[in-house]
Amino acid sequence: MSIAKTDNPTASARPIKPWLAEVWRHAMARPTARIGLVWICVIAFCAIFAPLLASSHPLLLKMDGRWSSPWLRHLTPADVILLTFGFVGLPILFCRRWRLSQRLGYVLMAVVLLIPLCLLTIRPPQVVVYERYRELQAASKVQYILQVPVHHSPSDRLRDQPSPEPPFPWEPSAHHPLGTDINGQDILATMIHACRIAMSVGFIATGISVLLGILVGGLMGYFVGWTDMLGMRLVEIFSAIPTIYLLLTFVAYYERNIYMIMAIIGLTGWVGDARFVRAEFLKLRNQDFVQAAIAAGLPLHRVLFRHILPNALAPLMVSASFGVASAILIESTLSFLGLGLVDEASWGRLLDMARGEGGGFHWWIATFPGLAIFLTVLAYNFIGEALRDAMDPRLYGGRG
Amino acid sequence: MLTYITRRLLLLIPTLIGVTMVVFFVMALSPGSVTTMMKSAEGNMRPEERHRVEEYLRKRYGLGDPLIVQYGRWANHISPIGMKEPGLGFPASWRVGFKAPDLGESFIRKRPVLDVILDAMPVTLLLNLLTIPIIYIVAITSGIYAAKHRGKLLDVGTGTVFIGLYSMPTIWIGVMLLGFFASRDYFQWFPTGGLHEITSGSMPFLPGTHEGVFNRGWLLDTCWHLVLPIVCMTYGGFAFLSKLMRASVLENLYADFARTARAKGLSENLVLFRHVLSNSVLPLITVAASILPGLLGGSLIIESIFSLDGMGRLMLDAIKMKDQELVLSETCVVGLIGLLSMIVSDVCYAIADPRVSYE
Amino acid sequence: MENRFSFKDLIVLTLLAVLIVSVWLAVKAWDRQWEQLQAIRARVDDQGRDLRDIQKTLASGIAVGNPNSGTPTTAQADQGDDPFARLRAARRMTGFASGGLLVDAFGNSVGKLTPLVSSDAYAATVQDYVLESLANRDPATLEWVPWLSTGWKIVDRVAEQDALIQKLKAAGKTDDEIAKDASVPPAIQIKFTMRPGVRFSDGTPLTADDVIFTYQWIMNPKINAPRERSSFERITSVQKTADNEVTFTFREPYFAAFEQAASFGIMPAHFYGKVKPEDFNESVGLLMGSGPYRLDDPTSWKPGTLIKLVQNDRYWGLGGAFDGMVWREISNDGARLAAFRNGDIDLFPASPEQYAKMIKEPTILDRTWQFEYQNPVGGYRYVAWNESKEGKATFFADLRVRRAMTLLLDRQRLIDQVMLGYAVPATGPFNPLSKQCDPSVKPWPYDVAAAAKLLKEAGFEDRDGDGVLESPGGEKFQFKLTYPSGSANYESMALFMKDAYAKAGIILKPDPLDWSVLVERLNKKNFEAISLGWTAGIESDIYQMFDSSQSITEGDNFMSYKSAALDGAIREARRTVDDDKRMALWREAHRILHEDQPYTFLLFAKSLIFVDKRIQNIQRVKLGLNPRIEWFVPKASQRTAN
Repeated sequence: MSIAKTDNPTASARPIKPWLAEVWRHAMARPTARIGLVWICVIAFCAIFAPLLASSHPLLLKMDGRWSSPWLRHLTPADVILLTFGFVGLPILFCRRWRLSQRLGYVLMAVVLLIPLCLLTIRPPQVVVYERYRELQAASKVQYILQVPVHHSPSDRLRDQPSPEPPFPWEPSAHHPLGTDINGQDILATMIHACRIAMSVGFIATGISVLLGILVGGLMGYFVGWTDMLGMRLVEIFSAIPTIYLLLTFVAYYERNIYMIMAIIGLTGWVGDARFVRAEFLKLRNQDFVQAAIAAGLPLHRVLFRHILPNALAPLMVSASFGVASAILIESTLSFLGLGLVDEASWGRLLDMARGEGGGFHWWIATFPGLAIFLTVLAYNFIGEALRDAMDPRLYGGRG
Repeated sequence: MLTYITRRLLLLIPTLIGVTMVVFFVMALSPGSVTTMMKSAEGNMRPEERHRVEEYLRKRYGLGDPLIVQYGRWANHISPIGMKEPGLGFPASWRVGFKAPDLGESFIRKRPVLDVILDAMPVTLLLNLLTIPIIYIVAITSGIYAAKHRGKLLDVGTGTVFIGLYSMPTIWIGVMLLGFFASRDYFQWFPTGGLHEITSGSMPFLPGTHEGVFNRGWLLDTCWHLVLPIVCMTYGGFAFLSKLMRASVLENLYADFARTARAKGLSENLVLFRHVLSNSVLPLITVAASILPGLLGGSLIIESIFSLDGMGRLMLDAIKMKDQELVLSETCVVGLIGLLSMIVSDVCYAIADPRVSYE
Repeated sequence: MENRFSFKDLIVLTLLAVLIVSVWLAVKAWDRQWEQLQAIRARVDDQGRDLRDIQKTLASGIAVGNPNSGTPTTAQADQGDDPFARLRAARRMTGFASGGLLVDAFGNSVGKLTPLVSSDAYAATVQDYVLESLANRDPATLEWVPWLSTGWKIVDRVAEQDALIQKLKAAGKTDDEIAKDASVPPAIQIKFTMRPGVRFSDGTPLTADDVIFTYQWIMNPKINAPRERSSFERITSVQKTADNEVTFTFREPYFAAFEQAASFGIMPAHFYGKVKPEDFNESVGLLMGSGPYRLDDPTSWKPGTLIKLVQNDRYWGLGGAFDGMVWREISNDGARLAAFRNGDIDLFPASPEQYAKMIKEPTILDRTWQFEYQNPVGGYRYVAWNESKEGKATFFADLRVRRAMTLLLDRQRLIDQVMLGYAVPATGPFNPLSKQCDPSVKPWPYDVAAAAKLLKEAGFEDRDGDGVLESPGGEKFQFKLTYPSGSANYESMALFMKDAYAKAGIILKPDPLDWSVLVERLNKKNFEAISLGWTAGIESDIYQMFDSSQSITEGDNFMSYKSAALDGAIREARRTVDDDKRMALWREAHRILHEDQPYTFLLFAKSLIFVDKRIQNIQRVKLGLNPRIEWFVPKASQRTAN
């Protein structure tokens, strides 16, 4: 035990932000990580601007000499919030005139204000006849029509087709670049709108599991002794049963909705994080500088949570990155097994439809949604991998 | 060492109780609790039938008792040690002692759960026991080469490809493989599912020609059915183990003993294969057991896509039909396998690396 | 720890693993041989027993009497009451040959083959070839023909009983007293004369005692057969009234009395009687009867093993052409289809999607017979409109609303889109092929204008201009359509209806539920509308679904539909034994249901089946396809291995 170290107890607890930024910069130097980031931005873009990309409702419609915008009328509160965020919030976030914390503050405040406002005031029509505009057009009652790039909403089931020939699903064609599913819904539109589920499941489920992990792991690492013992048993329980079994048991007995599924994925995924945080705490706890800090009169919790936890943040970022990937995988697997969401657009559900009855196979329903899942998962894994390696210069870097 | 193993085995008991508690309470606290089973099992049940189920549940769980008592009763049924009727088990005259664990009856299949699980277990084990060696061979080889050519295209390439493979959803690859390679519309190279051709019962065991006609035989037929499932199960596992192997080889490549060997004038390859390799395989062997729970989970998806009647498919069916006893028991059995494999893995690690303290 | 794990150890371990695997494979191979050996041994034992039997009969000098196994040349004469006339006709066909195996596949695993305690339809299919009943429906005419009996006499004393009850009532007796009064004659008695010379597959004769044993076995409360037991509740007694006569007594008149008495499978008393009821409930493969096929070993079948029936060499009548019937369990749809294409299985019931695709393939057209037919026992799909939820009347309590809901659905298009055209629109609960169905009832048309008018009359209008109709009370017209989850078909239908009703300003929310939850909702009547299907019989009893008394908790009239006129018709029909009178009553019920629309009757699906072209003499008859024992395969293309 050297006396010298007590002079500067926080020396080895590197300052947080620069280090995080350093890791991030290092990781993003990798082309794979950059590709990953770009793809996630694409998905996020689709999620935010979904109604602007795919909708059956025309942006502008001139009928009988009157102008109207059915598109505006059919926006849901969620659409409005996301679109406002996309058009106003994003520019603010990327505006360099204010400090980052300021920008974040503004956007957060705006969103908090906007949500109740939208939920209260926006009432889109509850019965939607998607084929109306096409029927009007066919009857040449429309003088002018302006539509978004993809002319179909996810739940537009082409009811204006008197008797679909050939029967659904349709192969990709000019009208439906990625084909339709077995109910006649446009796959491209469905996939665009499904980005929302993918994004939110990934983030919320991972958020829950990381928080739980920090909590349980932190408690174990802080109290040690009996708490640790109990906590480790808990960890063992959850890591002994394959996650999918646990998930299925949960899903089987509770009502299925998107929040439930997010929560359940989060609840079953915290084990790795907890283990990790605990190990970090235990490791650092015994280190000289911490012992010294304690000896110097700093309370242990202060040392642990102020100085050790921040150190663990970057590795947690790695695990969160992998976590998002696996949450997306799990959600699509559940949907694929027929235990996921019923009414919402989801990549996994589409994939399930690809297996037609009796060994039939619709390649376009399998390929595109599968590719979307794959690329998204890959993107997160690339980023996670790059972050991990950036933190561990021993493995990469050639000259180490 | 022995004390360590004993300690771990003793700790198994509270963990196992925890596992059963988790599954039991997940089920019991769900809307409708244990009694949902009565309505669910058969869909439409006549009063008499319902009566019988009620009787069964009362005996098994004690409907109406507090949950914790219900749990105790159920746990006693499934445990090999506990309260029992005198005259059964060992010691025979006692009310407490060893007995045959009773996993209950599957309502859908109307058979003892144990039978059903034992029927399904070999398929899942077969899948997993075939998968593990394949993953290891590929991971070890690629790990060595990646380490040897560190930083070069080969290293970065295999790393990236393996992450790519790892990111491919099994559900997607499974569906695509089936769709393209087991379908009349494209290439019908493989069967669409199952473990045997339906005529396999009358096939000879080994391949051979009979009256000039080639007969692939039972063994080859089974292998042929296993190709696609095994492909789906293996490809995702390379990334993790290959990376581990690579790190481990790298660590040893620059260790003192390797330097000494090099200094003696041994060629790089000799150093690698004679000295470094034996040390590097170690961490891989020790994680072998701990990847089992993950693989068991993966085989659930594979079994459901390729219609293999293993534990995973059984579980999925049980869940969809709400066959409660089956769900409970299977989760317990799988949990037990997982726990045991974790202990084996830890013990392996302790044996292999003397530096680990047995605390 | 000096000797650390080295690469050499890895190789040694690998070699060890290889060794273990090879030993395991060897054991497996040996096992398979042993199983086959066992099968051969069992067969030899059986033949030995047969030989001994024959010797015994020869020694005692009695010829085996079998009045019905006449030669084909005499068949023409006694076609009238010969149960095997159709089989004989098949045997006269050119190319007829007996032998070969017929291989079918089940989509699910069969848990039990033991009769009564097995619950799935698959087990019932197998039991059909092993167990026989007193009478059978002729597949072509659907009339009853004698089978294990040579004939029957029905004593119908309904009128006499009614008169007596009226008199007793007038005398001031309560219903209870009348029920106990011994002087009141039973309403119906059916006397069956047992066919002589019938033997079970182990050679024991089948007698009246076996019929009585089966009845008592079912009625034994220890036997886990509540379903059969409850359907037998109407039978007061089954007695042996003469050496070869069994009498079934029904105290109350019931239209299906004959069917109940005539159609249950007779189980051998000497075989099942030895088994304790508890063991019987637990057993999985106890199956023996007098039918044309039998299990190789009537006790040892286990779930997961091949289901194979072999010819019953001791069959009293004319057996089928096939040496054996095999059912395989192939749960994967695709694998089943592939097996059919490979010729490994002989039949393939297709889904509409598969059928539409397969009939375009030249190889399939070449290699198979295709059958697309309306099945008389095929069920129908419907949407039930709940008229009372939590004690309050719903929108659907108004007849005009219900009718409008039907008018808004373009059912032909629904059939085209969801069933690819392989279905017919339903007008009521009776199969169009059945005599119960009134052919004058035409399905409600697709008529949006008429529906709008009806809705307006009922007070549903869009008053606030948001496109959604409001009820007279100002509520929005929205409802949840419940349907079983996990079925793409039901989902497509629900979505179709959602879009159809959206056009009329009605919000439909799809509500897929797990079967268990769905049943609970039904029992508590806690739903708004539900989409389900009922299976139908050759003659369907609709009392359960539509009689107002069945709107109790857990009753099948879960939409709380009440109509006095319909109740009258159904109840009268159920106690009418005379066919013509009864059919008139059923048709009246049909017309009432059509007017009232408690359900929107959607469609009757068609049966779509492919059969391998090797198989000959497949005919379309009233029952669908003719029974498989009439089929045969010419010698050259017979299948010998499983």
